Amino acid sequence: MLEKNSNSANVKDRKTPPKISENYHIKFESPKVIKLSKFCNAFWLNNVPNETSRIDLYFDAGSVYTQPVVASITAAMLLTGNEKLSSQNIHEKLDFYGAYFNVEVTHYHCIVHLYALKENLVNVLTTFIEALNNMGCLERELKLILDEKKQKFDINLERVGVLAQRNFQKFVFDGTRLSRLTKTQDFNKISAEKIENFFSTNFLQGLSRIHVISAINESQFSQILSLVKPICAFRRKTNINKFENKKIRLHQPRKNALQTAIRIGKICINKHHPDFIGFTILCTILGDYFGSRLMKNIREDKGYTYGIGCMIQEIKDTGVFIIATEVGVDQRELAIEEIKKEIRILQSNPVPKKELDLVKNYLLGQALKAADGPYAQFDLFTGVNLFDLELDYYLKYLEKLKNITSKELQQLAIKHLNWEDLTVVTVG
Amino acid sequence: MIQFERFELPNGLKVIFHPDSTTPMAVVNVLYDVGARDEEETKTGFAHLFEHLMFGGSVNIPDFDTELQKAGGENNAFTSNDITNYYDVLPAQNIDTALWLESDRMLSLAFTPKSLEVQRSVVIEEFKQRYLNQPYGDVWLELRPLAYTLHPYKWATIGKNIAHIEDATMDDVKAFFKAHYCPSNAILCIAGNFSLEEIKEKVTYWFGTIPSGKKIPRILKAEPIQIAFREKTITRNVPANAFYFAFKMPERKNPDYYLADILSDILGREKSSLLYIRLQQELQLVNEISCYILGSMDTGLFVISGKLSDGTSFEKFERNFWSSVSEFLEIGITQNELKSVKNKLKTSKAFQEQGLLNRAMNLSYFELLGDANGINEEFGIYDQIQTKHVLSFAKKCLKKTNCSMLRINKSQEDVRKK
Repeated sequence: MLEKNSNSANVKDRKTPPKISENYHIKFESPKVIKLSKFCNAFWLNNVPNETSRIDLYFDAGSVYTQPVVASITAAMLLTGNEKLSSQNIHEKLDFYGAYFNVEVTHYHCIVHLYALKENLVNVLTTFIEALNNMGCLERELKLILDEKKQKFDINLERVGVLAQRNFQKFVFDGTRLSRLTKTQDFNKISAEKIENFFSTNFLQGLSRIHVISAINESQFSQILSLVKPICAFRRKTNINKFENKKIRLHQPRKNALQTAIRIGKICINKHHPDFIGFTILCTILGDYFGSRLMKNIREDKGYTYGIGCMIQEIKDTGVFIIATEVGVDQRELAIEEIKKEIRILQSNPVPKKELDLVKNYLLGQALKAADGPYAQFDLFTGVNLFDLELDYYLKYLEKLKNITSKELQQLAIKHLNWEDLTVVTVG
Repeated sequence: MIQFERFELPNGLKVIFHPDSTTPMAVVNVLYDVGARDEEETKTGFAHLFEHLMFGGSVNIPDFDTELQKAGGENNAFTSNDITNYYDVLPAQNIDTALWLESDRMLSLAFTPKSLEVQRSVVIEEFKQRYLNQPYGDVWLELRPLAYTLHPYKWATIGKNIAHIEDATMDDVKAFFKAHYCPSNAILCIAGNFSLEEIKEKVTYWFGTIPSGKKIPRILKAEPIQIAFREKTITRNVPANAFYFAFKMPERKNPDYYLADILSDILGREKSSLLYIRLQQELQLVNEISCYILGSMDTGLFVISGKLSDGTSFEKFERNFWSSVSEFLEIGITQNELKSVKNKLKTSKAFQEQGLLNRAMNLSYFELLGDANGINEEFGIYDQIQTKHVLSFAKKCLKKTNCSMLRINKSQEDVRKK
């Protein structure tokens, strides 16, 4: 690897890059799968070389299944206890076991992540399940959480990025539950009864998957299974949406704003579509790495922004393509013009071989990194399993990455990135 | 236990090698012993602006990022008040690419005028995006000069104001490079599946001929001991009134630093700390209260901050805040509380050390503190701490005379100056 023929360091050639190799061994590991009920599976990866452990609990308790803010408030109430077992007791117990937890609410799920050392994992889950069984939806605790969440929500509405994201979501998901936007008044419509109802159907009977990433032994794993068995989902929650992009161009002015947030995108495809892998490579070229065309042009050449990027957000039935950035208020139109120009170039000119080779090398190295270690392996598995696909998807990905041509990418740009189909929202 | 080997090149470059045979990736981390505290008061924000320029091409390589991406890698950097840290993560077999790139920019930059012009605009947008165009975004621009009167910690890494960034010249850039970017002012850490011999050979090859440079002695204005409560109230167009209590705390190398860390964990525990129970749960004066430290090389800040609930006045809140602090100092800390905080530290340390990049960054930072092995001794230090140590520290630290307080008053009209 190292050129050693020049033993005098002073004449070393610093202009020629060292030789590189893309010959990586990327392997994919499947966790053990145990069926807990007709609608709930447990997944266990025990190949963890250290004491760290994580449990993810997926509840069918996402925002589409209820009225606005009910899902997020219920998620925040999970550890608030009742008259006998207080919120303080629960938190003190989790602290004692050295545990950390966080809760995220997506369109379809509420996901609870528990982090602990191996030796405490069963105790941490026991404490969590005990808390769920004692969630009494106390008025006092509900008020505290509503006040806290409402204030956070109001603060968020001061951010141009958040406002632009909301407007974007409203238009791209038009006609579905995903397009609903939370309003401050929604917090006033919450009652303990609403939370209790949602909690008992979507949490106490709503566990649809559990992930265990830990080098615990078989008997500890069985204990974990018996702990969660009683809360497994016994029905499949469905919420089928037909997504149709509403093409809108909207600017929301904001007094005193120093920057304008821009969101541009549309409903597109997810892993189930045959074009998807190619499309992710196209997105990388456009705006998903530091050397992307959007970064090179709008940040590194023009200096309009601190950052710009694009991504595909995959949801159950579809995917959303989004370009996001914040630019100086005077550069709004200039930036949009440049974005449009970059998309047009992808449609009219094939990606030069040099650039394509670079992106292939980059993505290959990133694939190696994305498969490094048990947590990364598990995330890869989840990334396909949530879409009912197998790990061989990644082999197809690597194959496609090696073979994709500039012509194919140009075709994909023509097919999926028509400027006229894109929603453009700006705030500030 | 994190294994590592240490050696130094004749030009003064300190090198840490951390072997890990379980990963196919490698990390190259370069820490430069320069931060915002090394800036002149009339040219602030420079260490950070300079960090951006380090990606604008070096003497022999026009494009840093592209070469690393070709090798399957990615990189980033951050600047703090104390240090500037650069890192590259790439497949282990391509490690030479990262060493080539890092050594060339340590040797010299290209100093192109275009790079300065563009990065100046980028940093100005960053200033707006992170500090000016966010609710409560300018807190640290206000709180630092209140808490520090002389020490350069009185400005944030982004700089005092946009004008300083606008005024930066190419001569400033060159002078900054010459002063701070050289082997004798850097710590290089390499992590991955290699042998020590291999690493020694590669590092010597790439970095061995870079002129040593001269480490400039650091003479900073010392911050006088605070003897009186300081306060400032500003009005901003935000939805809720916010408060920040910043208490002076010991510098990073002081043994009491660890007591401050433990104390902040005790007071900051979610839903079970005394501050939460009294002020949020019982009296409902706040909707949010948290506690954390800004650990820094020189005298740092121990911060308690949060937002008032609707209709609560600062006066009523502050009366209750100070009485809750007194109550805490009187009741003290239970064995159980301390044990919990230690258990949580143990978990978070285990998770942090999971990542190769974190290990490489921490080893570099501990080496800067004096000994990379500090990373392995840290937990033992926490474990020795007893409740009485934390309490006696708390009594010293949480005094009103040791505190600078910033209030942010909500208003419908933004009174910020343009």
